[in-house]
Amino acid sequence: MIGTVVTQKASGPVLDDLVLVVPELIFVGTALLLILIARRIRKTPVAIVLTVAAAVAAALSAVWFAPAEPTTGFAGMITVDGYATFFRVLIAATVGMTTLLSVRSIVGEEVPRGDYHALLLLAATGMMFSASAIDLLTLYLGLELTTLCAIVLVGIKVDRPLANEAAIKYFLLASFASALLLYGIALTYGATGATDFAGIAAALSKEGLASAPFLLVPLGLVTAGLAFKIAAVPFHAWAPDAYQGASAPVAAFLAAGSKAAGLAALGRVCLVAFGSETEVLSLLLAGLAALSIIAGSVLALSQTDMKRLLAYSSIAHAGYAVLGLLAGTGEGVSAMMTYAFFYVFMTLGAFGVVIALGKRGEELDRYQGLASQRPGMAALMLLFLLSLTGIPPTAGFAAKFVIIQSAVRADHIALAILAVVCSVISAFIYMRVVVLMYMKDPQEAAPSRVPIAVTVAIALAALVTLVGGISPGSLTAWAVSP
Amino acid sequence: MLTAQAVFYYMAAASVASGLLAVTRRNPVQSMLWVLALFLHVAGIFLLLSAEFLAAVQVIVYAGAILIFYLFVVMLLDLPDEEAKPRFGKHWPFAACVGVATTLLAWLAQGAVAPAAGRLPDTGAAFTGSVAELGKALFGPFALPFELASLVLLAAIVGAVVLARKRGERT
Repeated sequence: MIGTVVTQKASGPVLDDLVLVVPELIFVGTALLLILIARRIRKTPVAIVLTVAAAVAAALSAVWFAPAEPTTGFAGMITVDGYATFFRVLIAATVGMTTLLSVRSIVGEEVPRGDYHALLLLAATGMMFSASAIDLLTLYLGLELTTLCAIVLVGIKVDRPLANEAAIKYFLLASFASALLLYGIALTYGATGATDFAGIAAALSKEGLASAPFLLVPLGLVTAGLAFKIAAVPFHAWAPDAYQGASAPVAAFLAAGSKAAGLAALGRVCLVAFGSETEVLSLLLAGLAALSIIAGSVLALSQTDMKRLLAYSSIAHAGYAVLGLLAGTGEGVSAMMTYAFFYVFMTLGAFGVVIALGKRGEELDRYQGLASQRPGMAALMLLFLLSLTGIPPTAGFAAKFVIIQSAVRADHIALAILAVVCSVISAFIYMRVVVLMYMKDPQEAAPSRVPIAVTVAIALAALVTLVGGISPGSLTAWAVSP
Repeated sequence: MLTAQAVFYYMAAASVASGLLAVTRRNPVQSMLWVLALFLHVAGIFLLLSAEFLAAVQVIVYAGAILIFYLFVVMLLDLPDEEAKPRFGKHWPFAACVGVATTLLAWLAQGAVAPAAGRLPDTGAAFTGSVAELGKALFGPFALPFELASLVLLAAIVGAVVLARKRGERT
């Protein structure tokens, strides 16, 4: 028996497959190294430098090792195409910037440095896998890895009751969502006999929703599970609490990275696996988008905590990004990719300013008179807020323009109008901060000096936000749909 | 065939009986031991279905790890009140009804929804359920998900260590 096993040729992964996952390998390797040497790290910069170097290396290798043609690997579990490369670079950038932003919050407070960065890297590994997955199994495991690390990161400050509460809430709701997703995957397998996207698509084109209405259940469950990951209404309840309880850099990481990964997964599932069911799918997605845009914009109006405000803003932005998936076309998906890219940088930037101001940055009222004390910081915040609203010449405008254009092309005129109206509503939210910064007198002493790493991260975000606004076409060549 | 059937009926009857005993015993530790008997008999049923791997996992994971974990909790918490109180809440007839109804449904449905031959996924070679087949699948086509699952477990362990550290301890 054993003899036969040994002599049979293994159809397992070979070197060609490993080349496809170099960025992930870099992240996992660095994470393992950090866990191993965690006890020996006496100075925080060691962990930071290692993580940032890993992020840069991963981004470069994602581009360097990207095959010219879409290549599948590991027996059809993942594919590396333009879509995967795009999101890999985006995720690597998110990790690098989050690490730079978290310099202060882990020096001043009691956070295990090695483990913090290792979890960050493992979460990013999961995100990358969910962006390149072409099998529901890989997709699920990637998303789960991300969520699990994110829950621990939210509660990593064990001394803060608010962080504990946020982590527990996030854990319970995430388990629920994960169960939904898993049940949806199981039913999809039961109905189609496949877990790989191509197999599902083939089975669906033979016997679609029209002849088998039962398929609506797996379709809805998978969409709901993924909607939770991007915090789209009505699966958004975890986001404000988790962001508020988490330390600001972790909240930034969740808002940017985890949303980008969720969108990547949702995009590929909608376009490739369930591509033949565009009609029903676009109804589901239109509902998600409309609810998210409305609820995110309206609920943000009454927030006084900056992290909660940005959480509701991220919910609304998830809605805008989903608009790109309505058409079920490659063009719509590239609009979604553009949106996700610019959204990540402007959100990281806005969170960056919150982090730079420390405790003061977390409360809306304490932004009073910031412009007279720190004109540079106030100007940067203004830039990010303009971008989040969608006002030219910022990247936010370019992103909203392509996404609303794609909604119009998909004949969702009402949704496009709703998106524009809610952009105006959201302007009130963001401009409230601007008014406080520029038109009120300072109530307290100027904030202390900002660490250089945080400044670098904010400057990078500002650069992308400006360049994206001035030449919005610069991403078009990269944002290729699967 | 007859022997196999006899063994199956013994296993099934013993599973049901030990399950009933587990929920009716007053002493939690005794309940645990009946659950252990339940797990072992269910493992026996798996063996009859030539699912050796499932049987082994049933014994190792459920009987070995999870049950011991429960026992630890019961013994560490030491709840004398639990023992003194009646074992069932007020709503047990309702719960019993649900159980009976589910059994009836399963009984009625067994003929109705027999899987159509064409709908079952084509697994290629006949899957015998042996450990060797499973190993080949895990390290062949499913190598990447397998490794990813190990990362998920690693993250869970690291996360548990991070979250369970003493308050105020600087690592």
